[in-house]
Amino acid sequence: MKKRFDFAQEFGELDENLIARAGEPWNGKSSVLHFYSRRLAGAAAILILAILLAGNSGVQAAVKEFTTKIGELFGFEKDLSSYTEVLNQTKTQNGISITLHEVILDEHALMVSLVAHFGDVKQSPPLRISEEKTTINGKSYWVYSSMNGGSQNLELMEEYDMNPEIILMQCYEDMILPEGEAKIHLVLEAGDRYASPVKCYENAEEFVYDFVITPDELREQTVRINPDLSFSLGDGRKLEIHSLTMNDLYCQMTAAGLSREDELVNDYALKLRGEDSLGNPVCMDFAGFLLEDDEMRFETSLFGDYEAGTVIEEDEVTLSIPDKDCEYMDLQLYARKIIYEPLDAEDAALLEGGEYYVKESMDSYEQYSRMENYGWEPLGEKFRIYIQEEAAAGAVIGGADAPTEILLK
Amino acid sequence: MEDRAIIDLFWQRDERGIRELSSKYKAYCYKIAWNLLEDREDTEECLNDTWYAAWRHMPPKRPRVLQIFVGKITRGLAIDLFRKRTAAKRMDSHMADVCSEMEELSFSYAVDERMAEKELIKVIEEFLRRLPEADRDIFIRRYWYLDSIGEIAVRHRVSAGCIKTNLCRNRKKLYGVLKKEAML
Repeated sequence: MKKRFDFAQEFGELDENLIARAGEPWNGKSSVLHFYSRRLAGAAAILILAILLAGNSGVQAAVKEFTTKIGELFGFEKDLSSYTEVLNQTKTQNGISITLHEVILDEHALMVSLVAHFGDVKQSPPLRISEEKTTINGKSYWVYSSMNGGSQNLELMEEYDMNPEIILMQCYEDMILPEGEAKIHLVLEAGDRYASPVKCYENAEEFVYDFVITPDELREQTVRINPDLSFSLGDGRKLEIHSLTMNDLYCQMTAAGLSREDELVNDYALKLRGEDSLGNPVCMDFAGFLLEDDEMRFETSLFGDYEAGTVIEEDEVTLSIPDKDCEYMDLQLYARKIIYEPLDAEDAALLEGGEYYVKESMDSYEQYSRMENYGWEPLGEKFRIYIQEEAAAGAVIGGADAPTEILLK
Repeated sequence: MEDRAIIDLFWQRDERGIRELSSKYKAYCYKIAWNLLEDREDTEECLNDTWYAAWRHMPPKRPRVLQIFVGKITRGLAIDLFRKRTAAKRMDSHMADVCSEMEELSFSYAVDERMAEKELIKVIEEFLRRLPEADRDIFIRRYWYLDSIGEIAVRHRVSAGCIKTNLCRNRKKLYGVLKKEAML
């Protein structure tokens, strides 16, 4: 006898605890969701890159000497050592050993490098900075983005003799650090936090590190300007650049002009792309809206503009981060239609090991060819933004009569 | 009034129970029904049916969480009403989307060899428990509370596209699990 499973009706009989939890106000850190695909796609890109580098002695020879592990893994052009705190602290428990090597902190980001040993296991458990338990000067901050660089496939790392260093990063929006030392209470978690809805960290081990770090030097080197600049999107609307913050680690920009409901924001991936006056490629992804208002945030990714396809083919590690000492940047907005249909995923594999985000339909670059510029189309005017604080201003390149338009499909 | 007292009124067959229940949970149930029906008249009808269904079920039932209990009734009635409306070609709601999404997860299977429906809901619960908390919340908000994509996007401070993608991915995963369990 055939019977019909009516999901709509049967789902009504869901466990009351699950319903009740979803009935409460959401206070989780969902904004990270927005970046899972691209960040992890980025992590995958780093993994591939690492394999190629490891297998190509010519490339290995060309890699410069880096003074910090964070600089080495990501290929930062600048020497980060003056504001990198070297700790080399090792904590061990239940067979897991984590050595925290380096930490960089400013008001935007906390970045740590570490090496973990998990005994005989081939696939390391997920590692992360605990958002809830990590405090800076006794306070925890709202995290809008988390990144994890480096491979956790231990077998693969061994096979290709890959750098075992792992970088964890959290980005903060509302952190204000006083001058002088900042006290960090860093809690790293290794393990599955979703084993049970009742006990979230059932299989996770915690590793606690307490130390002080002085973010003053990085802060002093950080350029902050408020450019008076707007540019046309080509459809009668304008995007106004409100602020720009940049240093050797990242560049971040806020802009107003599109709402959270806008089709461009919801159905398109956006990025600002161009180069600085010194010829460095610049790429800033649209990274969501600020917490309290409708200002858009664009920021450079530590994984670079990997979709350009040039990184691996030309054996060049390019972060697409502008030089903070440049005179100006020439940028243009690019948009790419997001493809919602998921890729063919092996469901069984996805359900094991908590790797829910490895295959992600937002990785639209897999859907577009290189010939199509990976789906990216220019939108609106090119513009120039001057970096010197006293001359913080901008200009539209080509003038108002030369807008580039794309049709929203 | 405390939930326990309201339930006692129902058990005593005191019609003040309906008034108290309606007064306490009207807004909660209204939103669930409105999310799907988007019609004031239909939503009111659904709510009236909810109170009388509660009257029929209590006794013998003594719900542990009264809010969830009436929410479940409202949700079921709203889906029934929505389907009737759809059959009568009155489907003009964007929430046709949510029903079509849920339809993707419905299927036929042979009862004698396969798992009973009651067990399949356990499979769904286990699937949800293994999801990251945010994914679980998004899934339940969409398919139990019947929230719109936009509402969930605001709740999670992400774009609607992100929510659509997240739901699409998890529907696909869940279908894979159900397929395996029911050996379709």
